[in-house]
Amino acid sequence: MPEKKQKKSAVLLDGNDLTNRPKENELEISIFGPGYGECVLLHIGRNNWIVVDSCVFPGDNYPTPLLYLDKMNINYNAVKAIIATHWHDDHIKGISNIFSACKNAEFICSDALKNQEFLELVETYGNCVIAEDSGVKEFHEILKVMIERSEKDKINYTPKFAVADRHIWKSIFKDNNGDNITTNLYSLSPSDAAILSAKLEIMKCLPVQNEHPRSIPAISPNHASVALWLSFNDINILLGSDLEEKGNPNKGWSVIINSKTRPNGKAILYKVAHHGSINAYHPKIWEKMLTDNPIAILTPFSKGKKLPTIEGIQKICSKTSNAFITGNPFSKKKFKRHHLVEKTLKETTGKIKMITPSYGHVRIRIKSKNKYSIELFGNATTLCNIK
Amino acid sequence: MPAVQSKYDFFHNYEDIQAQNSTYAQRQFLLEEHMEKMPDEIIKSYLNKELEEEKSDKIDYSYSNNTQFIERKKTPVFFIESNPLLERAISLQKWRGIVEEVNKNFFKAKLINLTDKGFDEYAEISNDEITQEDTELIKPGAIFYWSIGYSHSSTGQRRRFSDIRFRRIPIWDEKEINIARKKAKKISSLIGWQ
Repeated sequence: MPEKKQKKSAVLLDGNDLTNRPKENELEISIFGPGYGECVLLHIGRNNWIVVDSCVFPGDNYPTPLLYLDKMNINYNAVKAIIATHWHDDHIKGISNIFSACKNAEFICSDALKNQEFLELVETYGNCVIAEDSGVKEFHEILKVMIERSEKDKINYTPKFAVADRHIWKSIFKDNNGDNITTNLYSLSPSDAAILSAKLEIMKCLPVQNEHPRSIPAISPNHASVALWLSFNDINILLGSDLEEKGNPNKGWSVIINSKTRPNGKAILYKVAHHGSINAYHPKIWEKMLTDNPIAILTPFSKGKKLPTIEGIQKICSKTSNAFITGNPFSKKKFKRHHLVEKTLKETTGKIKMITPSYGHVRIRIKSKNKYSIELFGNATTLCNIK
Repeated sequence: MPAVQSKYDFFHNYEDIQAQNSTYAQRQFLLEEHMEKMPDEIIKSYLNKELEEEKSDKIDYSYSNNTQFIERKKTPVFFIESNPLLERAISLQKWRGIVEEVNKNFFKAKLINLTDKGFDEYAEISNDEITQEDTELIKPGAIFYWSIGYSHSSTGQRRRFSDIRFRRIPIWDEKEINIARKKAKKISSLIGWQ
């Protein structure tokens, strides 16, 4: 492919005022990456917010999107929807706290979880010590809040399920100039085949009588994850979640690309799927669903394997010069601790690495297709500079 | 060290927070371990040490010119009970581990840092580090606790230790599974999960 000379966006580096609220007619996309996991916070106009997944920054126990709202002095009632794209630990850590704190928000999750087996799994493991810090525990807490609400105020106690090509949110506001701000949110996945496979996988995880409980493994490949398409007036963005692609025409990105019922248009911003892994790369996403030289943002994954790989970075950077990442996946930052512990670790295991060595926040505020700002906080950096 | 303005600034002052956390956590753990292993009087005397030092600085010597008395005040003699030393262990670092991958001679695990919360790690651990009775428990999803520190023997010797213990969780029983199944049905009708 001939290399085009692409124009880079102007980037404002760390040091900007994090506390500035977006203007009422601005779309904000804030992506938080704690080094392991991610969260996206969307401002859809007139102080209305949508949280997609949740994460917690190292050394903290409070969900990052709520800390950010606190920083801007925004009431949690401004959050209108909370979306759990899938149930992997790294994407929903702290989401039950968000749901509990944001009483005006409805809860949306993958249709692949809409089955009795998943509830059984949550109910058995949710009370088991083995599920501490896990996605199952988060869902267990969410169910508790829903039951409580169903008995008391009867508000936002039923979940909404996201499935391929479903219109899951609509809002229309008038800004100060009297112009309409219309926001539409669509789920692009999971497909019918992915829902069925996920149910079978969940059944495999159910407890078996007379067997010892074990942590629930992450289901791979992740085809049940919810990819999202947001339209804000004439601006489109694509949030890829952790959706993967294995060349199966009935699952993953292939279904979305070939769908005739998905929303029209091309997105100017792409939250790259599955931390920029090769497993989630599909060239047609870039050709059919995104504008030329779009803004691409991703979060690293550092737990044993590191994502994105150099190959993954090269693929993204061949498509856009406006790619940003919330932290460097190859950071070799080591944890500081007592010298006796270090000495013992060297003798017992040579290989111990921090899961969260590099983390930060990328904030993009869009007024129109050609008028936007990109701000990087913490360890966030330009992707194509990473070697 | 720059002051931390709010929780959200953690990633701005990464190094400082980490240094602060680790020292604080070590101090807390030392204190907790002491509290568990040592008699209350010794802990109290340790905690009140600074207070006593402050008090001793404020002694009014002006009423006497007796130098012998002053010397005795400056160098007090402590009488310590000659009980035999107790064995004790001081943990400097603790993790809760979840086995993720098992290989022939080692396994890979996610380590949840219990000393400095939030700073989790990932490690390859040799099977040689596991006691024989725990070896059969090394399976994906198994939970273990890893503690590193030092122990004092009754003869006063100090030794480093690294202790990995797998958690033995009772097997699922029929009753437990049936209760969860019934509860799941109830929830599904209550909140419209299906």
